[in-house]
Amino acid sequence: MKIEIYSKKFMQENAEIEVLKNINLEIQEGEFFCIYGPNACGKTTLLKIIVGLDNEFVGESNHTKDISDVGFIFQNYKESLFPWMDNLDNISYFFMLNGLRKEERLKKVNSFLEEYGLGIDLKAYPYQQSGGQQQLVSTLRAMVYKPKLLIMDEPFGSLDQRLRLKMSDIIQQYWKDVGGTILFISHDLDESLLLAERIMVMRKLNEVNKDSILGIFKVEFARPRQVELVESLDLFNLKSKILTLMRKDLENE
Amino acid sequence: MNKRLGHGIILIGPLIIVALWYILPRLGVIKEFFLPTPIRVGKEVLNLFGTKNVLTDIGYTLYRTVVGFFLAGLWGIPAGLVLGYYAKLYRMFEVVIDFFRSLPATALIPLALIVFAIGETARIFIVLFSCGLVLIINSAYGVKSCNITRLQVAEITGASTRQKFSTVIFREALPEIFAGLRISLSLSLILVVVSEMFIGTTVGLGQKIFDAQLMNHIAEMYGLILITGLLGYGLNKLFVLFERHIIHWGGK
Repeated sequence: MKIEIYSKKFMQENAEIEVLKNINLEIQEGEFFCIYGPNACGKTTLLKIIVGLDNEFVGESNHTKDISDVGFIFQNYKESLFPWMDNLDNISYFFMLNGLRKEERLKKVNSFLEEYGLGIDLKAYPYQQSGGQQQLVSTLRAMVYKPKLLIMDEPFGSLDQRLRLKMSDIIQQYWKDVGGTILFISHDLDESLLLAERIMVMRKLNEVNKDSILGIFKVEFARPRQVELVESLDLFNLKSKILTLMRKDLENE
Repeated sequence: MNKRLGHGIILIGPLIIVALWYILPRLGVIKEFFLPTPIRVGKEVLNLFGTKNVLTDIGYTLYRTVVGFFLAGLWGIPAGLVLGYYAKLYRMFEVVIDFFRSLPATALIPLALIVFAIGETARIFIVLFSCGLVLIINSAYGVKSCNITRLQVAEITGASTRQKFSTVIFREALPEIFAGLRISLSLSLILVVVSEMFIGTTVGLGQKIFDAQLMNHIAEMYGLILITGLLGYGLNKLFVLFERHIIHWGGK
């Protein structure tokens, strides 16, 4: 998957604001790729371009033609769920579009939940649930049909710590089982380092910062990675390398 | 005090009105000829249900209201959904729709009489035309205010245009459609009662109110107005219950 974005601009109150510049990226099939960066540095915009939801940019993205096997977990999970559907219908939306009957969908969803040891009240409606539960449902909706490309835009933001840990195990297990590409956005560096094969650090554009990419780093730790890895020296070294780079960038401003 | 009143609090307003109704003629503020006492009107209501067979009139008025309302929905909602989806088409018809919506429906009664002759067709036409316009505007607005994120979810999960409509857009539009239906139901009753006064018929609440007035049966006229009001109120309350059942996610 090749993405080349020379420039992406937004109109805001009659002024043009550039959010992405000089992104040249090649993501391997089956790679676990994390995008890390501060708020409002254009992470979500980049994902929408990759997946073809946003076509107004200068550059090329060769993935946009094949949207058929993509799962996209939206950052604004509350808005992205269908409030008129119960959890079963929300999670099995892909199967519903493919004409599967309710019993078949229930079977598929239940076997997925069992596989990953998750329990969810499938009869409940989104508005009857906590934010964390809603986020979990919106995440499962994109995972359940095991797409070749899974795009996760800060999928764990509203989960409590316990569920966060569990989901980071599940997502690694899932990646191993399915073998698809995962693009994972986060503004949590530890989380990104724990999950990624490679991590791309982005920055906010301004008069001094001319490029969106601050650096791309390989993360070579053995799997399965447990949360204890965050405490290890190897990870600490990589993390301080990234943070030093970010600090330098700040000083240049 | 609040606790003791409980649900009874909603009865205070109506009780004040009935009390005023009782007292004002006694004080000589209003002549009793123009405002017969609640008791006299109450007796008339009983009389209407007894010997005067008002149930037939209620039935006819209700039947006309509901038929007109359904026929309006049958063309207004689909037309509104299509217009809402195709922005250019909406722009093409915007002026026409706004014009006819601004035109008081009652102004069309004489025209309807010429085209459809005196009878039910003219009456139903007025209702389905006016209510249909309300429904077009609300349905189109509902489609246009569809949440973009949810539409993107459908798109990215591979929904066809037809599936986008059935699984997302139509559901998104439902609250607006129901708001339009609620307005239409009230408007339908108004138009039916007015048309019963002017478009020849011998049954219907509008006709009976008009007759009572002609013959100076003032208490009977009040009774009929009361019955008509209660009919409208009941229809509205029933509809709200139905709406809450269908749009269970509303306001949550």
